[in-house]
Amino acid sequence: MRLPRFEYSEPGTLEEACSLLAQADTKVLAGGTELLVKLKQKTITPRALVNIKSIPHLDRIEETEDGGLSIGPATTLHAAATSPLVRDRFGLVAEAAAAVGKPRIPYMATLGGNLCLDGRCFYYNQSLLWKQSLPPCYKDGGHLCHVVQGSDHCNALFVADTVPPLIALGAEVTLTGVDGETRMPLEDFYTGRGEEVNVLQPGQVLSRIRIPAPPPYSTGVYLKHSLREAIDFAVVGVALLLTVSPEDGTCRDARVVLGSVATRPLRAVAAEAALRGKALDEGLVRTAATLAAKETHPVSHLGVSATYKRRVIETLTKRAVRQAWRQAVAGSGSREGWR
Amino acid sequence: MGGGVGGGVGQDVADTRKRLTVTVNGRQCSLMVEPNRTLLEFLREDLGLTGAREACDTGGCGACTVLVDGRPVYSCLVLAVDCQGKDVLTIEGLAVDGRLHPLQQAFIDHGAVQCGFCTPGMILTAKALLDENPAPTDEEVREAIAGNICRCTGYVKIIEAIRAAGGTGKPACT
Repeated sequence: MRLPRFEYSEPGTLEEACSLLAQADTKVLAGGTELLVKLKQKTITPRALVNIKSIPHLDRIEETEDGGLSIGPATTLHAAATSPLVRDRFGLVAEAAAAVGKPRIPYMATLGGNLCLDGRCFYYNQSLLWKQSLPPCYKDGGHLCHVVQGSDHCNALFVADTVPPLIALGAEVTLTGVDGETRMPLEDFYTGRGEEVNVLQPGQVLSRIRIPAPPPYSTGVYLKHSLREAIDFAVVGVALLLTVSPEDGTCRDARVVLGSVATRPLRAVAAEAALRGKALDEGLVRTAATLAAKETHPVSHLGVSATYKRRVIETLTKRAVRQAWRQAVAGSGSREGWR
Repeated sequence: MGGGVGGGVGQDVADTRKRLTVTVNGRQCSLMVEPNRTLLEFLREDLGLTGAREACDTGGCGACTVLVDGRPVYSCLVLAVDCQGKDVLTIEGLAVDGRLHPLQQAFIDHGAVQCGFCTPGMILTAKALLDENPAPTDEEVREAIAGNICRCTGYVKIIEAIRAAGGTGKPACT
């Protein structure tokens, strides 16, 4: 398959990139592992591509003054997964980065690209030729959804692995545009609409990812289940950040974020509330997992039934809480404010 | 590729090509390429290096694997112009002075080549693995080649060959 023709530029600065991206029908090229497939299949045919990897320092991982991390969007997932700065204190992000299309995609794909990943759908992610046999869906500018007959909205799944852990950690993103910078919680970056997954406007680039220092006595986990171990999207991804009281071992706070179950990354707020303030025991683990499965409304999609997906949410949430709990018990008494 | 350098053909069409300077198999080359050319097309069609194969063409099978700065990548999903100043190794660059690389010899000795279509990608993936981890376990080899599909399904012999080349496997049957 040949790539269609496009204008191509390698800007030297973010400002230059933004002014190029403000022009009609222009897309950011970073790792290219999603974009080039869509171009080959003619799912999208942008007029121009702007390669942001040419901008200096956009692939840096740095510690911030408040003990958090600042990560450039052009950092490859492999660099994020292997960086000691990420691995030592933000292990759940490293786990998730390594799990994206493993083993090969992480060498090419970028963290910014994963955050900006488009919604995924069996009917949308197909070649133009294949799609000619069906009327256009919401995501292609039509008025119907092939996944859920009669649905009034697009049901493309949000499948990015690195996003649930980053939201669990309370990460923020900076969007740079022709009119200046905006900072927002990563959670607010997503619209929940399958047609347009995030709030990026023409002329804007996701220019930085900031993760605050994890709270004292917290521990995190990311678990992914996919149909194939290698080169596959998640059936369900569960990220958990568990903060434990060092005095009595009760759960001080919990953040549970699910991927691949909706059109956006989803906080399992009922499960979080059930865990908060309670003493961790096996009964609580089961309660939280059941709530996480019940409060989501997955649809049967991409070869996975809604029922199966619910079972996986329940199982992975159980495993995540148990694992975080074990890590918390092992960490207590070892050092002040362990993470 | 229509038109010569200087635009002898189609004067009214702007030349959108970019100069690409890249080291391929130890030799530097500098060519004008269209931005919409993938690294795979550049290697196969502009340089005539047909060892990297085109199969799924969407980053799922590993047949097009080459090493860019020592890392295995799917060359079907990399723009050629994105390899400016980089070091690319294809299967053609592995043998030195007509002497096969130990991995190539191990693949032959262990019968790890069936139809041969996946072999260049497998060997380059294995090279990247052994460069980082000279004595991998069975599990580590399996994980490393999980991004490469062998449709003859001759995985066992491939794994044996890679471990033998790494010095941790059984010797080949004689």
